Amino acid sequence: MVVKLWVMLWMLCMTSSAAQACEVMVQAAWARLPPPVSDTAAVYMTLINHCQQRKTLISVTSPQAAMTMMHHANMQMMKSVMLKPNQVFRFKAKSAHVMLMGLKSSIHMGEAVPLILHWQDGYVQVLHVEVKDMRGK
Amino acid sequence: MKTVIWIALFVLFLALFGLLFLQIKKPEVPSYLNSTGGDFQLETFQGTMKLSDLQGKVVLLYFGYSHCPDICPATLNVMASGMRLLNKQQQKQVQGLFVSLDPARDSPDKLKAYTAFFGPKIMGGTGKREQLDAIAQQWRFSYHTPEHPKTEFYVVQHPNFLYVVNKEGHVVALLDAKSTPQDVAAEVKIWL
Repeated sequence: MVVKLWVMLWMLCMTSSAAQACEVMVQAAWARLPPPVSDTAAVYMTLINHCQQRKTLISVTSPQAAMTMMHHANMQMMKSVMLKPNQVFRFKAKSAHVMLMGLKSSIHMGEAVPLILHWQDGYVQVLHVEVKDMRGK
Repeated sequence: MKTVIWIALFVLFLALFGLLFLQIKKPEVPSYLNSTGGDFQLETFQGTMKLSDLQGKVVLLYFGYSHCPDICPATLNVMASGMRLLNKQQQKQVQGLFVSLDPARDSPDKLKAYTAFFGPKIMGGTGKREQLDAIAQQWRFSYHTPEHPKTEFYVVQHPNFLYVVNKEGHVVALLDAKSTPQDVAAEVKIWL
């Protein structure tokens, strides 16, 4: 009986850690280099949910910015991004984007800006996004 | 010999006629643009200026604000890149103008630095709220700048298209957010 209980507990732990280990894949993440006088920058990335369960991004933060928000193309605030299994969501230029507001210091081309994705299941995903200068491109 | 000269003259005549035709033939301006636009006044780092001061140049006009992280820098990039596709002579006849709808945060000096980031052919200006409201009405767009924002990180709703103004100061085309630098250059060339 005790052995059975231990096995069940072990399986539960494995399942829970597997669920936690399954994180949404983030690809092509970058931040737009803002003009030096601007303290606002947009971040773009592609989210791919390879997990078997749906994942919901509820917020994004950055220690580099006083406030971070997800926006639709029309600048309306986006409360969350829900991804079904195998679903892809793109934050892209002139479309949905993450907005870094009140940058605490100016960001430079090639620099990596830390970004933290907060998922509804409590998972916290840390990434660094490269600052790109899009002038002339 | 005489025949060759006559043929050469005829070809030259055809070429000149074709060139003249291309110069005169401009596309028809959509009727809804006939009642759009008009002169307005702005505060720039060089002082007060009017849109009509730019007559004689094709003006690419965009309304936005400097705290806009996505569409404004993306559009100003396209505007600047489009102008860079023109030759030196053509570049002299075109001017980019960025009008901020957020005068509380965008001073003329700040706008000078902001627009210079994208290219030397773009200038920035803004005005008082009443002036901007009048411009919005005249230029047929809606915008929203919170009057009493709860936070300094507020968002301004603004139009996301480029106005193309001909040398006489009339709006002749609108370019949407999907436009490329090539689209901008091609449109400007029509009106030079």
